[in-house]
Amino acid sequence: MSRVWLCEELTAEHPFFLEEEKVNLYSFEELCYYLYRNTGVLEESFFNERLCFWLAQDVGQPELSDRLRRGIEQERSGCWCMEQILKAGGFYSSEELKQVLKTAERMEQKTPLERAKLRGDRLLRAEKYRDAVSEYRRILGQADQDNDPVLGLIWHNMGTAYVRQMLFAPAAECYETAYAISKREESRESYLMALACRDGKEMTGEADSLTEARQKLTEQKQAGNRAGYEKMIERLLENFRLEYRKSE
Amino acid sequence: MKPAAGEWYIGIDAGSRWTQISCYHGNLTEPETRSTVAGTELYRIPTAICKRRISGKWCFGEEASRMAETGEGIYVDDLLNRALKKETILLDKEYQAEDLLLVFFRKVLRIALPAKGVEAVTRCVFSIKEVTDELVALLKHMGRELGLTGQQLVVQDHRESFYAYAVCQEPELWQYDVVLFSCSGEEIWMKHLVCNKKTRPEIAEVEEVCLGRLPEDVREWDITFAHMVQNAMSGRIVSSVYLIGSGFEGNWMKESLQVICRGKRAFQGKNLYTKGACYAGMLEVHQEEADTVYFCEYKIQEHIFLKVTRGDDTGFYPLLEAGCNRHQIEKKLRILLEGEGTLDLWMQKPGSREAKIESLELPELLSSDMERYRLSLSLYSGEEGKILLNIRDMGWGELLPGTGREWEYEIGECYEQSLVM
Repeated sequence: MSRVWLCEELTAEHPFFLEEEKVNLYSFEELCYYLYRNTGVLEESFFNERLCFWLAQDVGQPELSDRLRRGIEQERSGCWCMEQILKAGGFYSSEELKQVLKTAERMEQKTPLERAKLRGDRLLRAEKYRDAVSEYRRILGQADQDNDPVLGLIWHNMGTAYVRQMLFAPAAECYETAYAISKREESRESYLMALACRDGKEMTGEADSLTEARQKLTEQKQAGNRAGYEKMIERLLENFRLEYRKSE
Repeated sequence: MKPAAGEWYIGIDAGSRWTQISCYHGNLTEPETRSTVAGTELYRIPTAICKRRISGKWCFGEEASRMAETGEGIYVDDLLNRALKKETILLDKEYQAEDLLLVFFRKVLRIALPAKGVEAVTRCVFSIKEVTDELVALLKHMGRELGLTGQQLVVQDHRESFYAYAVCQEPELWQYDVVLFSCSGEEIWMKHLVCNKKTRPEIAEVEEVCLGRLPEDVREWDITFAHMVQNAMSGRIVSSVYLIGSGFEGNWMKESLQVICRGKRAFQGKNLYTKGACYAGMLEVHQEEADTVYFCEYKIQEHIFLKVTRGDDTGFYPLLEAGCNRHQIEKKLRILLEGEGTLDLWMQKPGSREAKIESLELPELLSSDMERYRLSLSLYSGEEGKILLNIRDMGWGELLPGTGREWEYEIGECYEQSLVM
């Protein structure tokens, strides 16, 4: 059985620009969708006068806008603001709201550096590697302390973002710095691996998906299965193309 | 029922030969028919226009007739039919009949507009002899050009205007059946309004039949019509009778009037449809307060709902309500859909407790329990009274573009089916 939600009729004449994502929101349901999907990474400053103005002027939510304004004046948390918006939308059940608010509350207890790291991680997970590197660099540039263990994690993840772009030299530097800060074994291993890749050495150890694919290709070739071989090559290339496009 | 403060209704009886216009607002006790000559009761405006030879200006109504008679202007009549036939008319140069009809309607509308103009009109109702796809398209086009929105403009037939007029009179006048006799030439037509007292609101329908022609000998008109009336009304309890049309003029009704007035009240007039159109506009806006709802072949016969979720609650949202004009369906909305790749529509006849579900398959919409799709729904009227629903996967705007995939379905009962009922 399908479920249906009705959206508000209004479409914003002036969209709400999301600075971080560099995209525009044109309707109230888009705002709710965005909040629900990004619960963990939104800063309290997201709920500001610009948002209140847009809600009242462009998407016909003057009451919600007033409520938010009052809440912001009373220094209510970002979690509270999010709850007001998601409740007004009616697109989520109380159980869904409970879950999402729990995540938001957990996030509110994290340090600003941890929350900033999560924003970079989100880009990394979305395979936007170049954006992830820029985000990590921005965070590192703004960091006050040099020995916060979170910084080690940020350096490590930035190394991974470089590796995914086959940029092994900067990746090795990142892992090295990460290890210097946090002394994590994982960073050390990654550092060595990145160095080996940089120098073009053969990898030993567990077979990765690419090694497996190469082995299967060799098998197909040796078995004389030309059609299967070509099909497999085609599929591999398509996957590479897709990964590359995502990372751009 | 009366118009609320700020409401302004206009009713236009648009015929091939004559046009009449009325307006209705809170300061009037009943709709007021406007004349082209102030202070007179010349309500019938020829559906014609005249271009002055000297000044080149357009005129209509009495002035146009006078100009045509004296040869001071070039006159074009039968504008509605000519516009329907998309005729080209040669005056001082070539004109499209549709453009001339628009000039005519613009002038006619001006005599009934509120001070604030077209934007302040609550409903402008065109009453025509018969609702056809071509005429509806023409009047919709006229409405747009006149500055009326889709919501402001209503197109209905004379039967519905008669219904609206009748049910907006004192209740004792439509306690039982109401009958209208019309005679423009020699044919007598009867419209018979019946309200089903068993339903709430009462479902009203108007039956129309031709009773025959009046004989050639004028002396036999009275007795012939008296027989017609007697036969037509036998076995029926009639509360009131209306006589309209120029055919009833001339003081020839003696015997027939006695038959008509026996135990009921009778009214004679010429501007019932234009006034009825004003009432119909008001009934549409205040449908929730109305005791009756009108049905005919161009009305949607059943409610069409969407079962919608809001927070933890579910409810029904009326996508279309029974009683709406099929030819005027124009609705757009956005929904979120989760679950199987189907959209369920709930159909329910008025007064029935049962609903049937019409599941619209949306193939190629990748269904997933977790995924919510944003779809745009667009309802519009197709040919022959079809109700069409266009569904488009619009995605989440710039956050997540949709596939743009579209599906189109014909929904509800079609026109032909409702004719059979």
